[in-house]
Amino acid sequence: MALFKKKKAPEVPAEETSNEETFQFKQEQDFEFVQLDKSIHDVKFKTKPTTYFKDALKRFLKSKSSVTAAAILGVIVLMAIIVPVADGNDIQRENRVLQYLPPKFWDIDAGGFLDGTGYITNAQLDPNTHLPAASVDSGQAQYVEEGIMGEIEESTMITDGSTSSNLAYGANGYVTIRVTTNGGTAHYLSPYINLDLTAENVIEFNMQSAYTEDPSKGGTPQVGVFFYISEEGSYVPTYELVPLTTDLEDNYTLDVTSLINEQINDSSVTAVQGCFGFEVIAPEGRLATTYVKDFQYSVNGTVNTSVSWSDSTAFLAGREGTAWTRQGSCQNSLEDTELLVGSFRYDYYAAAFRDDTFTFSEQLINSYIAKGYMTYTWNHKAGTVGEFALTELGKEYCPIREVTGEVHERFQDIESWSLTGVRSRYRYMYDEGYISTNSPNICFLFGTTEYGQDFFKILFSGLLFSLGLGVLTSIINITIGIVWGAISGYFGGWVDLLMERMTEILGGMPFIVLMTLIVLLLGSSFWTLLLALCLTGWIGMSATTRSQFYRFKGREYVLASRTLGASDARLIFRHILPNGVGMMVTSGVLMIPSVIFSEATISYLLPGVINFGSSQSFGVTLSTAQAYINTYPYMIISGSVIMAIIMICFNLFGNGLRDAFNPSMKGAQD
Amino acid sequence: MWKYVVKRILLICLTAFIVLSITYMLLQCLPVNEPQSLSNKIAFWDQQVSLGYCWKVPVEKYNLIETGQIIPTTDFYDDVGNRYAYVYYSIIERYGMWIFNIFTKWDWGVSTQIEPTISAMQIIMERLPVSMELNLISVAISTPLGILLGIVAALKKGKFTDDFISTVIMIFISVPSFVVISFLLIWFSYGLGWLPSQWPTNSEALADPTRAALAYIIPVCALSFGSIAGFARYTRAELCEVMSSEFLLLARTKGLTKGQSVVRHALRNSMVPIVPMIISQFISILSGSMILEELYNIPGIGNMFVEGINRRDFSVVMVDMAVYTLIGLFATLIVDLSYGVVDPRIRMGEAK
Repeated sequence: MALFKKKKAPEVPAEETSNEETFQFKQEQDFEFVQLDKSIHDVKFKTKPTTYFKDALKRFLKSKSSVTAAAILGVIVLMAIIVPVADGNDIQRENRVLQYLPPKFWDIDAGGFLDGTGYITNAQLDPNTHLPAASVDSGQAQYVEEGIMGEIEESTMITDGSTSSNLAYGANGYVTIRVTTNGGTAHYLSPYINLDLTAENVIEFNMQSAYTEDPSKGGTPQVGVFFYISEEGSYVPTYELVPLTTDLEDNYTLDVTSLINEQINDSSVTAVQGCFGFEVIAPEGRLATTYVKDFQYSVNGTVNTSVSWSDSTAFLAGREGTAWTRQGSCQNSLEDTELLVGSFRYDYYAAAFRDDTFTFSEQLINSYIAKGYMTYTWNHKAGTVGEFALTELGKEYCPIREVTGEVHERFQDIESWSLTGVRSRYRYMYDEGYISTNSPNICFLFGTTEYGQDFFKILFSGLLFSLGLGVLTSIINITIGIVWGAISGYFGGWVDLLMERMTEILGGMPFIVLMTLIVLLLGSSFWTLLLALCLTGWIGMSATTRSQFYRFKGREYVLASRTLGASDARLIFRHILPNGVGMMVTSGVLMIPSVIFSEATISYLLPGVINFGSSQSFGVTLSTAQAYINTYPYMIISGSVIMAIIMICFNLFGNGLRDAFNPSMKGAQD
Repeated sequence: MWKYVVKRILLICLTAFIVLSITYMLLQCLPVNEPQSLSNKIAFWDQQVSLGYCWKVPVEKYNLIETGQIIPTTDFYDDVGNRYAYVYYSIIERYGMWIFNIFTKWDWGVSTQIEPTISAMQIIMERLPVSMELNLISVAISTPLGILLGIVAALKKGKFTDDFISTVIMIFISVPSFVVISFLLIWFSYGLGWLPSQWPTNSEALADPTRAALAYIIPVCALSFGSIAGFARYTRAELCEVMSSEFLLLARTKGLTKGQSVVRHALRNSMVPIVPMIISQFISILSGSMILEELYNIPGIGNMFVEGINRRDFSVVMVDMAVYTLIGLFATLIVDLSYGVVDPRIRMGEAK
């Protein structure tokens, strides 16, 4: 309260001006004594009293980055609580229909940016349908027509070697004839034919470069084409059509009749039986290979299809002509197969939620009828369609859209009827409880896992687990740390010495060993993990508390209180401990991310050790996603981004808290 | 001073001894994971017998096993039908033998899984150089870079440069190393294909030295980012504090240029807490980074520790633990001593 106040009236009392003391104020005659005629007493504060916490809050709110971090953290924590409850997508059962869907945020075409589409380059196409080819092993196409957006840009790609998909869809290329033993001989023989020497027999073929595996060792392989007479099952190279040579041209057209006649030199022979064959002889101690592109045998201008082939790839796959056989140390494969590949934008969601044909069991049909989706009268006649109608409700929800026929099955004495029809996949999955929305426009924000589960929900369920672990650990560690540190610091002496050695030994054990030991000995669960984290986690807190007690226990106010008869407990908890309340709050907050981090590290390092059964922690989720870093990186990216955001926010928030609770920072930011 | 050092070293030995003893006993509570192949199995158990941890049940006592009077730790037949049964002594007896073997023969036991029948000490010695090499490179890179960044940030305090550097530091300190490694792998190994996604094996490295050299980039980056951020943050904080002190103002008043005052007065004083930090970084060179070695398949001791625990190869884990514990304890001692060297005002162990 001001001692002086500005005078309202200009005149000054006469007795005051005569006083010597008031002489100094002469120039400031505007002032008067306020309390001259009042009694002085305490006046209630007009401003509101502030507490330590309110003051800290005020200062905390001034730091913009900390407040933002706190807000983001709040959102993430809220999401960790709400998402596992509110998101109805099933993350327990497998549903491979939704496997590996990429993240989708909006149901608009954003040119591939988080809209559930992707650009597929060089997917193998089926040359007949010009659509993505079905996998040879599973018989199912990886990319279906419903998902393809726009045109497929086709191109041909040359691949080496033979794979099952090359054989199924490839074209052209070369058949390789490879000698598989050092210095061996390989024969590649056509089926038997009767060669009429009176007719005009012509072969045309393309054979290319013969090479050895290691040209530096010298020696060249020899290759040739023969007509082999079959005599008692053995192949005798009777007629050399192209003598063994290393000097290969590309294309050969040979008049077989005259070549054979020239060699047998016996006009009484008018026909021979045998087969054509390629022969490859590898040089001493080496392997050799040659390439053959096609082989055409024609009699009087007509192609003999039982021996000829024009497309090496199709021929080797058994799609064209008839099979030639190998003799000797020989191996066949393909070289330079042409594959038809296509690049296109692909909508994974449209593909996953397309309609397909499906066989509905009688039980399923009955359940749809009971739910009031549809009506159906059975004909009980295989292949026919009974009376089928969708109700109003069914138009929205019924997974069957169309019935194409009844199916009858009998297993021993059990007869069963089922319906095949067009199934709406999203309605089916909604009805079965796999997804939460009855709409094909459902968005999985972080994509789906190998098991077709919503990764967004998995991640936040794991986060809830880890946050819970972090909060509990932090509370327990701080409690233990404060009590331990307070006792050790307050009493000092041999108590302190003993307790210090104990913490030193506990702290000396590497955390990962302790954790592993506990989990291996007691099994892996939330509670053992909590125990492992709490076993050494409190040491840091106890050290800080201890030093704080050393600092304050000798202070005068403590001495004063002790003189007044305060008990040890009162001194500890009422007088010394409150000095460190800010530090405790700060380290409590900062302990949560460090627990999440430790848990994630352990899950990363020891995936075999940490296992929570059906519930997943954040770290386990991340370490599982790590396996798909190359093939489906969106999982590890979204997980890592969330992890990074949490860590940054916790650090900013913790720093803000530390500054806010630090009394020496008071007024520093103002 | 020397008395203090000797006292501390004795204390370190005592602590390490207790820590290792507890770990040994705890690890012995877990079932042993014997080698897979029969010959290794027999060799392993015979070696255990010779070291005095267990005894082989003689043929005439096999009936005691059948009646349940002896419960063997392991009991198996070889290809010709010879029976082998071994019984472990109690944990306390084994512990005694273990201590005896270490002090008399320096025998830390053999590996059972990682490299069966090879001495655990030998395996560690083979793997230590790999971890050390990587960490040496990363310390050599991160120390000057981190300090430089910190100095720049402190000199430009409150300006855009400082804000930018501080934000980057904040991000690098917060983001866990496995996240950094994951992103580096996604971008540079799988996406662009510039860098290998795995540490090359010895034969691969010989065949393609360029790729082997490129394989250093990701691990060194992953190891350096965190320590660069750490150094930069400390340097910035220390230098900022020194810059606002009065002796620096005095130096400027005397007529020194800003550069002179920073280099001769501010930097020297701000190095007091940073030099111990560099030293502790150098010591942690030895320990390697478990997560990095695991993710990048680097055959260092961190990777071996994880592998040892996952496959329950406890001799290897014990040797590795001993290395880690001793490094950790000596690191604190050296850091404590280095304070006295850097700042003559600090005398460790001085009586009050």
